[in-house]
Amino acid sequence: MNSMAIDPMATDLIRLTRRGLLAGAGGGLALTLLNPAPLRAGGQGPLYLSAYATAGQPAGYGVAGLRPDGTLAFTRELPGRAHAVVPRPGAAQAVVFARRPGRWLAPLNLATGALGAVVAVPDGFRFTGHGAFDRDGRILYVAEDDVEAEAGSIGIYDPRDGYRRTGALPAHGLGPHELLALEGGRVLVVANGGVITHPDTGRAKLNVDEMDASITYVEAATGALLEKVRLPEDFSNLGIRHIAAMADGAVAFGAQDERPTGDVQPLVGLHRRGSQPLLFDAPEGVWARFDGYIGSVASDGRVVAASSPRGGVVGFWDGRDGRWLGLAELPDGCGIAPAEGGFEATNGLGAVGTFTVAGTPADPPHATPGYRWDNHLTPVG
Amino acid sequence: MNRRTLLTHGLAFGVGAAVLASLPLPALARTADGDRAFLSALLSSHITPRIGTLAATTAGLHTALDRFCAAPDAAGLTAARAAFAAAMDGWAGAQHLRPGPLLLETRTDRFAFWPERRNIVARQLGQILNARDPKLLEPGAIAKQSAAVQGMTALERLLHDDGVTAASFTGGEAGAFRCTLAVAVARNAAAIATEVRDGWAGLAPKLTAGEATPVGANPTEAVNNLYASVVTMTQIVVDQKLLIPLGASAAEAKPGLAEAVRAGRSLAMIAGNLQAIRAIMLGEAGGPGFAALAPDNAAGNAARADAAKAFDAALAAVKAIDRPLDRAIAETRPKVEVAFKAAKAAQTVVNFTLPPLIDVTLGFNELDGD
Repeated sequence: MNSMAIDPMATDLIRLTRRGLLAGAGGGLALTLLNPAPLRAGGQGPLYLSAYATAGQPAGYGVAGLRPDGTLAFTRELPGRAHAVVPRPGAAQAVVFARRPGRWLAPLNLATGALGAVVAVPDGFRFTGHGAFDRDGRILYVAEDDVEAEAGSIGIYDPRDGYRRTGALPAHGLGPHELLALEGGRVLVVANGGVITHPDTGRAKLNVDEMDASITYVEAATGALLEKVRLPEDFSNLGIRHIAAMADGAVAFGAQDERPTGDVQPLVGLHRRGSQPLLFDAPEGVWARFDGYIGSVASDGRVVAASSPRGGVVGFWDGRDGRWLGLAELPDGCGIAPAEGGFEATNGLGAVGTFTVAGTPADPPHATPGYRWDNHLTPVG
Repeated sequence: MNRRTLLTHGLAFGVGAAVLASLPLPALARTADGDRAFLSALLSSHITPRIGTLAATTAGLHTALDRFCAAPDAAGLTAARAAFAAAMDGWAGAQHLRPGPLLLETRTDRFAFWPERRNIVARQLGQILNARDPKLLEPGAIAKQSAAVQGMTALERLLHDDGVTAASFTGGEAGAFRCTLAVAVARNAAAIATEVRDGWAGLAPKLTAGEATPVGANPTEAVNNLYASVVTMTQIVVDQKLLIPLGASAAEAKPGLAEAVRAGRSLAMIAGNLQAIRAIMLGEAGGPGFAALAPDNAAGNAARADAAKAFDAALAAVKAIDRPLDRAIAETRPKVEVAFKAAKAAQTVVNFTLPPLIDVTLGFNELDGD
């Protein structure tokens, strides 16, 4: 298939960032951005969660609690490469999801960093790497692929019973990836990338020419489809894979170009229930810098932030009117989350930094030598 | 809703020049002019010939099928299958050149739909063969079908499916339709390969001049993207083409998932890919490979020697397998394991040994689809 990366067996290194950024760094993938401050002991500030790989060879995988000053609250080894980490409301706990095609999820004690009993994916299913709790932390919804049916599924798991799977709802879309709970968990919104994969063929994309991306809203109580929205035909090559909830109930989304034509397109937008999706504008030349790929979307309720690790940039928009705010530069940057004074961002080269929504670093980014921060950064609380 | 804008419009400059300028970097071995010269030489010695071979062998396949279908017989089928093998070899030799024309317009998928989605090629071909819609045989009609039936993977089914003989292409309407469909699919595959060849021909002057192209926004990006493509191709060979059919153990083997297994070309494809990757790493026909970008010192020389040794060992291990891959997995599994390990060792050279010596940084977060 023409997908740029197949990676069924956890080979981690793909594509390049800017050349020379690590020149002279030898084998250690230490930090390169601006003038990094050294890793500090102690540390203060809000806690964020992220999956990581270690920089050595072969890479080790784990999950960490980290702070904006670059300190690590804890690190915990994992059975394999993880993807999203989602805190459970009302408990000092989070759930770590295996990277797709995922075979496990695991509860994580946020006070100690200890890992609970790993939960295996049911036969015939694979996790896609994301999930969401209801408001009270009593139900965990997990995005799944029903392999043989080639259908998206939302697994229902009981946190009070060892994350036992108690049922499933249809995702009403193909290739679900990120899923969020809205209205306290009454409604689940799913970013369906539209691409079919199969465990036999790893991460190879099997229907790129006939992909069918969508955002679906599913009633949690019944599994009923409340609304399904697709981008217009001109944008049917865009896989919608990441979403973020806005304060006013709208959903911001980020997309990946699965079927490049040589054109440059907007990749980030907003959907409001009952309306057509809106794609954001960006200044002349800026969309090309995202290189057809959004890796993560975050919001503080008002501002939308979207990262492109391929392009090495993070863009910011005002979610109320779609107004462009600014562009931050972060090579191999993907993890992004709201923070005091802007957004916290991490990259695969071990940087942790705060950026204003105008795109400027609030402080020189901090180095976390030996860690390559994975796709998603999640605030706790 | 915004309309699409043309790529060349916005591609003026790569990311981060300002950031790079602010970094306390050591002197780089590579320069924009050096990269431009490298691309120019690589086009002459490697890219243009290999893309040319892909176009020529696929055109040859179309011709051979046309001739076969005029009067299908056993000798004609043998010739058609030989032409199919030659075109697949052409594909194996060019498949790693992903940035640019092959990546655009879903051409890779349309040319060869592998790995395929749950037997979809057979299912869709079956429907077409049953329906026998003559409109599908008209010029350009195949190009509008699902990618699954547009190229080499569909042709492999038509020519090599269980029980297929020359008689499958004669004897009434069904046989005639099968043959004409094969010609139409081959014509489409040849058209795709021609688009790729013409696409590169159009790109070449721009690449040589250091201009923005779909291969990269500037010469440096183009070189980096081509290297990334080699990283990806090596990974496909190791993981997709070898490890998935081989499985972690005999119990987990899935030999039927090997590439081109019906045509018995799985190992030929792997060898062709490895030869092509060796050539773009170490040079061929007097031209440079990526290893030439490494410094002319002990470390550079050691890396070049490591690369040659690793790829030669991988190729030798693949050639030492004396029967088709699916049978070898069942009958002489250790030999396939040796080949897998040797290919994996070559991958280590691609992923770890050379990048730091040629100013290439491999990212972590840039994988597709996460």
